[in-house]
Amino acid sequence: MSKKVESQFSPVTRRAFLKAASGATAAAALAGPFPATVNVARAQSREIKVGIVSAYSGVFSIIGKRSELAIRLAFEKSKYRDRVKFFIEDSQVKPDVAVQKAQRLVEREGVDVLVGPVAGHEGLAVSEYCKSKKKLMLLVYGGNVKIAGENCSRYTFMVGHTIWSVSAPVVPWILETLGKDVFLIGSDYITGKDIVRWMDEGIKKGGGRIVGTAFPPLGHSEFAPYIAQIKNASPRPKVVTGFVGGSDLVALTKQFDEFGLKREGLVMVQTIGGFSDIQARAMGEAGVGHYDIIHYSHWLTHKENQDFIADFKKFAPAELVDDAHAIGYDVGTCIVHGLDAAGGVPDNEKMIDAIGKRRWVGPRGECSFGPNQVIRHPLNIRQIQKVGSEYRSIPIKNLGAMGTPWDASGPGGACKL
Amino acid sequence: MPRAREAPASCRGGPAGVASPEVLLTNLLYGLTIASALILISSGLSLIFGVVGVVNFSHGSFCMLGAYVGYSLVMATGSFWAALVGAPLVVTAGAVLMERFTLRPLYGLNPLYQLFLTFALSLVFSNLVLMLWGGDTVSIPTPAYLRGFVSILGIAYPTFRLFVLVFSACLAAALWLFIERSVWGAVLRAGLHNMEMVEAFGINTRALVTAVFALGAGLAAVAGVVMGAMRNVNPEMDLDLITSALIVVVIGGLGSFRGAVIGSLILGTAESFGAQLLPGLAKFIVWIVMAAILLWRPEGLVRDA
Repeated sequence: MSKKVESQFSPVTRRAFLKAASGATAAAALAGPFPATVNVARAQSREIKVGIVSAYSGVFSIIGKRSELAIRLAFEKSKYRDRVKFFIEDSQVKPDVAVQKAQRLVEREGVDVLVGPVAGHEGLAVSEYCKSKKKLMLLVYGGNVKIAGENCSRYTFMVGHTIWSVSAPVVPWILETLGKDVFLIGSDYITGKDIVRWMDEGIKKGGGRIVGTAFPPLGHSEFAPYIAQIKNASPRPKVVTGFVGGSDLVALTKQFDEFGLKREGLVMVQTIGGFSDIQARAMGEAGVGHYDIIHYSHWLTHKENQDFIADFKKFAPAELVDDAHAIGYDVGTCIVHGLDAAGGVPDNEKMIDAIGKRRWVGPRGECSFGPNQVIRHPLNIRQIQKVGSEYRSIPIKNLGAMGTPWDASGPGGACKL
Repeated sequence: MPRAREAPASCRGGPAGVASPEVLLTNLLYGLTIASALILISSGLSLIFGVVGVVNFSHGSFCMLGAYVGYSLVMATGSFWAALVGAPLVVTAGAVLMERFTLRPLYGLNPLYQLFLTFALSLVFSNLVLMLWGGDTVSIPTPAYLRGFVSILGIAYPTFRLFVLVFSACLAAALWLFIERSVWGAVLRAGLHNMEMVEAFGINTRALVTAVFALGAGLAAVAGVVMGAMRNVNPEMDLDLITSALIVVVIGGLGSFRGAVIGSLILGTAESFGAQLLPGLAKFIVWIVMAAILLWRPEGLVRDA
């Protein structure tokens, strides 16, 4: 493992700048006859086209907008700020629409790099398209495990996470810290079912006991019948865990409290960062004490996060920084890093080689990519706490760096790159 | 702040199975609470159809707007009651303007135009909410004295849910009394049968239509506030609620208040028991019930219009 870790905020020293500049000048002078030098110079000054196919309508639009803002910030802080041009398309969280929009950006607009959509099924669809076109794509969310496994692609980087990397690894901590009798709950669609399956396997392997399982429909906001199942489970669970999507979780958490489960000592552990600061604010007192697992927290104290938040507040004062911003920023800096390595030219092959080897400390902490080009990110247990009059999702434990397995035992099968 | 009561020991689970009397009673109460809130939404939708002749696709938006305005009022004043009173007033005022300036010019034309218009307006309202409140989920805080439990036949039932059940039932009963016993209720019932006849008696039918529209919107906004406190408030709740309301009026019979009540009871209990007894088919069951009733009585269970 290389020890050289790039900090996104390490200042460029005068010496490093002069060294790089003189090296570049010498290389340009030695490169060949005048017209070739002119071509390189032209390539290095031409517009860099970044296409973003993301959610810009419906409830996921907030993720699309937040990550886009952070990508823009990364470019704003780079030397490409005046050369970059963004092309934005709404995927509508539909795979067919996402591919159609990606096609439009790649084939009509001629974008150099594509930033992929937010949902797993869209991510997979656009990744397959980019594979066929040999076009570099970086996924913000779209954490489909197949892209980490059998559908991995040289042209796709998963910069956010996979749904596996921010769910299953929490099981040992649950069994050790909260108890061995577990009730599993997952929204009734592929992500909820996959997470419940992985957790079920992990809990049984770790000596825990599943006392009940429920799959409420996605988009459901009435959990009373499921809470009755939890109340009546025998033996009584110590913890309720799994994945309940987005706004459904606010309703579940409120009703969990309303029906007295919290007062009876039960806690929830939500995966994929369900208890964000924004969700915590919506839940109010009902959320206090519950846990979740994710790579980012606004309240991480390392310098790179503090600097990122300070920069972001200047860039977009009204925004409360969350994981969508952090991932978007990492996507942006990865593209910038690739461009730097390719001499400021959006040569996809050179950029891919450079991004794949990148190790950096960003808002989330130290990150790198595995051989399947899926991010290895830090993993934090967060707990909702009341600080003053605010409800915050505070990191309480770092579980270390987490990637997604790429061999046949991995959640998405074997990746062959 | 009053301390919330602990759940009675007898209600803390234990060996009770899926079909134990305790679980069945609990589900019945859940179902009735949901049904009571649904009555507020669907009765307005049904009455608007009966009098105005419009299937108002933006009716779910009235709930959503009620919930968001209610949320803002609670945040601004700290009072849940301000939301419960203020949000319906704001939404009703908006609905009156909507009826006056968008729907009224289309009366007498092909009903499809009104359908398309209300559908388009629901999209406008969704985007308005995203613009004003953003896409984050929020929730309306409940008053401290409505938290905790009450014991009903040995079941620990959340106080706020009991409040919703009683409050909505009282509101529905008041609406029923108004429709059945008051002079204006008689005019409304006459309007449900034959609007031209009502006009022939010199009654201002335009005002009647506007009043019914406003009443429906106000009731939906009340439902939005209580739903927003029980569940959550998000920019997609309108779709969820209009779907439920449409199922209710199809089951109960379009244009019928009694039908809306019966449809709501069927939907509420079907959702509650369905989720408990056939967890994977919770939403599917509701559609099966609707399809079965449509096959058996295509006009709905009740025809009192």
